[in-house]
Amino acid sequence: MNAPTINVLNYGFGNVRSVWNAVSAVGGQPRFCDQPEQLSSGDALIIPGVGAFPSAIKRLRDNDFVDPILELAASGKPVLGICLGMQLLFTSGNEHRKTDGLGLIPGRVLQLDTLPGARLPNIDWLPLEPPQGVTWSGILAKEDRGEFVYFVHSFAAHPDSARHIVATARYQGQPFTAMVRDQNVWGTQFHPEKSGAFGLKLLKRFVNLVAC
Amino acid sequence: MLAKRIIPCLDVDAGRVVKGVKFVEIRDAGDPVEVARRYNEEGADEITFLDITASSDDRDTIVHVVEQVASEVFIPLTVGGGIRTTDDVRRMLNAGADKVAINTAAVFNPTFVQEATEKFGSQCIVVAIDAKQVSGEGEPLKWEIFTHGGRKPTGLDAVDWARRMVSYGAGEILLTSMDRDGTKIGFDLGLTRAISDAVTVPVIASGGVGTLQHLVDGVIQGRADAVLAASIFHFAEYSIEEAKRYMMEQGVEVRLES
Repeated sequence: MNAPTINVLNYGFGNVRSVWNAVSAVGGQPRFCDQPEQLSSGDALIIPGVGAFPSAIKRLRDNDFVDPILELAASGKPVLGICLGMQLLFTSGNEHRKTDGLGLIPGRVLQLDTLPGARLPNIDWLPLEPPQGVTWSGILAKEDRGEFVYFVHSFAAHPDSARHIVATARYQGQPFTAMVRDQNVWGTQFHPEKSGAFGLKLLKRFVNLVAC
Repeated sequence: MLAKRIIPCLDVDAGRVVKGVKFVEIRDAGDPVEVARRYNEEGADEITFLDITASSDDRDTIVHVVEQVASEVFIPLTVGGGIRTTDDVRRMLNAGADKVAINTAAVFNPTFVQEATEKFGSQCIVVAIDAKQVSGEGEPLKWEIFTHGGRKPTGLDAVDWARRMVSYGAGEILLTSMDRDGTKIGFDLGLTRAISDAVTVPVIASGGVGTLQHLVDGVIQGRADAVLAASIFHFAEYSIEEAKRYMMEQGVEVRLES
């Protein structure tokens, strides 16, 4: 079987090269997409992203990426948003001002709550935990509890429904959303492409979803 | 509690890792790709490259180094040295860097930091601050920003400058004591603490690490969020893993693979 083609959305935001490198390292065939019509071919989509929510969503709208992304998600193909790319999946974001997102997962993206002396952005490797009552199976496995992944963010997602939260991590002792899923749509607040061997393992499982 | 990061730093000159003492007396420390690979295997939380190439002809070398490292090392990479324009930033990010460190250009053109953070986001703009103590004995502590490898004073107060850079959007401060760099007598803890207490973004302490206890001191006494060191790792005095185990024994939370 040929390596699955993983589209990497290239819309001027994000460390796209790192994502490309990591997908390639785990056996996927990465392809940069800078035109909306490219999205319909390919086996899965990764939406990277660093930067600010309003300007990123504006760039997606201005370049006519929104409808093709929504269509792709509706088609059942795997979609993975990374960091800001995950935040964009939600109904709205509050960075600078309230802005509508893609609306693929109901919920809001809000700034992390800080106590005095707290550092923001939160730049750190943090261990993943399952939400209470959840046993991991699938893209995260039971033995992955406590694996460290790399975060760089000031905002975090608050899904309307707890069932969309796959994993949490802690900032100042409080859990925040580290990973979300709604059927074929996944999102990680952390950077799997920068989370060492474990991050690559997760990406490999995502790439392998295509084969299933 | 947050894990404290250990960041090995590679000074790169014309494609080779080098390390000087107080920015002179350079020693060769190997091929950057090999060194980066080793640090990744030992559990480094990030890797920082500082391009100290003097000749502009060799400027593209660092881009190739970053490209090569980024294609096989999957942890955050920061690149500094000679970043003067948003094109420079973009070139490094496209090569596979996750963050860039802006130093001299921030001093001569502070709004460049603003421009860069607006364009690429705060999370990928690190402002590198090279500071030297300028207060004499018995005077209240004071540090000033120096440029050109610590040779040129700027008259800028380090604490004020750090605050200003954060107000311009810097996502992180890489703080180097020019008095300590390469000396192996430990971080300037007064400086580290003063800057850490003055800003809300993470502070990376740099300059002077000679023992593992120095790393602990930087975090506990200096209140740094991350510690950067070069010589003790390059010349295999200690591995990153040993450093992390030691820090953990001293009560510092770190990321350790089981």
